[in-house]
Amino acid sequence: MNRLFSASGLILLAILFLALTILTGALIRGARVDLTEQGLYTLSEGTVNLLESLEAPITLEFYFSEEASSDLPMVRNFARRVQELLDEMAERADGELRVRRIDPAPFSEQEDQAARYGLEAVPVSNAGDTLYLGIVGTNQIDGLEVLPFISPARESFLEYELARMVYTLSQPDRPRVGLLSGLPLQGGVNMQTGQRNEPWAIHDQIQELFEVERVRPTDEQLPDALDVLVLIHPQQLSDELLRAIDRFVTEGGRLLAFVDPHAETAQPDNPADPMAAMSLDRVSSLEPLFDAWGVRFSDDRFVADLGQALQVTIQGARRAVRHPAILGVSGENVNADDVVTGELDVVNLASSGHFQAAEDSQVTIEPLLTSSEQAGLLDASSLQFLNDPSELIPQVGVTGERMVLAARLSGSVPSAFSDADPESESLYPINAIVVGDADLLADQYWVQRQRFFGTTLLDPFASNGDFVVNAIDNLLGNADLISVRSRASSRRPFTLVDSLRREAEQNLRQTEERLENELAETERRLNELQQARGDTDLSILTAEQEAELDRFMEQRIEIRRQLRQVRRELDRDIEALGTRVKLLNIALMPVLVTVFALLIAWRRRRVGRQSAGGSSS
Amino acid sequence: MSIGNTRTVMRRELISYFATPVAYVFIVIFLVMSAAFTFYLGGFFEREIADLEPFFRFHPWLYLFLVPAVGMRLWAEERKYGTIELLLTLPISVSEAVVGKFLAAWLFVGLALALTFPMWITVNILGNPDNGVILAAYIGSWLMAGGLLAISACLSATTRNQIVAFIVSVVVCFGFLLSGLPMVLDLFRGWLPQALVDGIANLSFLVHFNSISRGVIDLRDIVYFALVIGFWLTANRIVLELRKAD
Repeated sequence: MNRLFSASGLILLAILFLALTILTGALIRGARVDLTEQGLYTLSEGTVNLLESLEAPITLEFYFSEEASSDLPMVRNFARRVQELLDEMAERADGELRVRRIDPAPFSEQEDQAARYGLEAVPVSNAGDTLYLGIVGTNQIDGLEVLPFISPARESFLEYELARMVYTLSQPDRPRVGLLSGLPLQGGVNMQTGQRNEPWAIHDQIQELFEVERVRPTDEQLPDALDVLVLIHPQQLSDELLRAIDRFVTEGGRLLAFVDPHAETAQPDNPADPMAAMSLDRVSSLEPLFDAWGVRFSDDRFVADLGQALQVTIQGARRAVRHPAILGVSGENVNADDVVTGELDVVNLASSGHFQAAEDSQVTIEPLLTSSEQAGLLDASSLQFLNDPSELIPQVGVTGERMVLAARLSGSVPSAFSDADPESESLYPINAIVVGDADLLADQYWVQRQRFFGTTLLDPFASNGDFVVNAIDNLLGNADLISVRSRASSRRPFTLVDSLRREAEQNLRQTEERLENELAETERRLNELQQARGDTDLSILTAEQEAELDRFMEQRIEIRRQLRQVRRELDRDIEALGTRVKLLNIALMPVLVTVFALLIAWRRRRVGRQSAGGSSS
Repeated sequence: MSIGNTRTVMRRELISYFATPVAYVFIVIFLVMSAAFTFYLGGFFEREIADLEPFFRFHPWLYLFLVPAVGMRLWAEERKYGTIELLLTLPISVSEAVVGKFLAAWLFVGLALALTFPMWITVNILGNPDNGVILAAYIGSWLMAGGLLAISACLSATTRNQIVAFIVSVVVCFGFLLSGLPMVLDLFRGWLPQALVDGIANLSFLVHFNSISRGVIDLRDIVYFALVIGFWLTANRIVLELRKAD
């Protein structure tokens, strides 16, 4: 025992301590409690499954500019988040996922490398500093996946994006998707302005994830070895193609179809011709197939839903009106139990049709998106020359029923072309998702393009894109990727400061508006005076006009002064809040503690004096 | 080791803190410094992010000086005034005295830390912070203070001069804080195997504190702090026994 309490005991103890700390660092793994509100450091089950099933090594290189970001705390916070997520993923991948952090400092070899991979260098200061925040993923068979710039605005999709990257790199071949589209998905040239329209965001997403094989309505065959067939607004398909599609589905192929009673976003061959646009046939359907399968689709009527109608601003009018054909499907009308729709927030649709099962149908229609109970059907033709969408509202005969706007089809169906052997009508299992609207794919219904430090970023305001990608992913049978949750952002601004700022800005705008109105009013008066004089020479002003002009000038100066003041007050309010907060936090507690200490000392002295007095008496 | 005895030592020690103004001065300095650092160096208000990262960022450096200041008197004072002999003749074991004194000091630092709660209220008024992350950071901060305190307590037992105890403690604590930084690791990278370099990095208080303060309480971090505290308190005991033999 005595030996333990000796100097050599101390040395032994130190060695033991070092060994234990090194060992625990290496040995204890995975036991932890994630206290963050949204489980930020807990990977989704789908991601973990993907990582655990990796068979060949994948490398993810995280490019982040340390120096250029030194003054951007938000960006740095976000980069830390990315790094932690990557580390977390690497830990779960059992050595099959390597993560490296690279700082592409200016004029370094790493910077050249970043540029070679096509990472985006985003300018962040006037001094010419550029920020890299991207990921390059590689596998052992020359596979390359690049996220050129990870926007902090898309943080909620970060895990999904990374999981998708890992998934794509782990697949030797990308899934083959056949795509037939009657909508201008690929962009094209705008005849009126002569400018190039960008491809729809959904097009890029599909293209990025899958190997896309184009199918034209006039084709007689489908490309070989398709994993999924996507039909968007199919019209006038050749008989042979319909047969091929029927064969594809009945032979176990997966189908995703967007049919529409009125495709707003369809364009005639010559978009510059207003007559062509007016007479364009906007109806699509897969009638022969649906008939055979026992699925009824309302291809001449659309679902007008007062419960989910979105507000739109119509040209000419300044106020927003509710449009019963444009729906924001959300809440209980989005099937939370299906992997495709489970995590979706809101899906925006424009004049959607609805699906029903025919009476003797064997097919199961499982709703993915439905209308509310305040919906009815209206003729598609009523949309043709519609000026004011609110006119539709009184026409909606509410049925009280929820109508199916998008559905998963399963069960067994007969072939639509069993003419080869009409006697034996064999049934085939079907695996399809049908959607009653094709316009939901257009950017205007779900995504905004934003400029961020000079690059274009997509900022989705609805989940349409996720819906489509989820649907394709799900039909491919890759459930893991779908189950990766999209998460709320961890960005947490000072809401109080924001609201102060918003208030002041509103104030500023009102003052500005007043200035503009007064300016217009004065100009009108000046013009009136001019006309009353019957003289067109504006350079010579009457005394009256000059007085009016002077008054106007004075007014303008006064309003400018007011504007400046509002702006100053905004800064002042926020500054005052800052000072208050600073003062309270730095001084309040210390003062209280000091007062408390003084009170105690005073009491102690009094007690001491009393007892001293008591003992002396 | 009896829990009752330990508790008695702890209570007696804790009460003695507040008998002199030193405890209050310590708390006031800690509160003023931590808030001032948060606002002026950390730019808490200007960042406009509803979290307490700028607040916790400076804790290691504040503790580096304040915790040895608390720890220096634990044993050095007793030795100087000879009260240590008295303490050790009481019917309590050396271990009980060591743990009791340490716990009292740790609770005292915890009280100072708890009194920073207006920061937490402030950030909740300004925005919607992730309170889970804040809770984790408070736990991490307190654990780190415990580690530094155990070091200071042990070193305080080696001398009867409080100033010497303070200076030596600051130096050793500084080493423990720094060991995870690249500039330190680079010194070892050339000639030590990677596993040992990782081990040195793993010794760093900063690494473990940062890991907890992002909102995840990992068993490894808890075990690390428990090991640090356990090691230094055992060492503390050995030093006392050695000195007793002198």
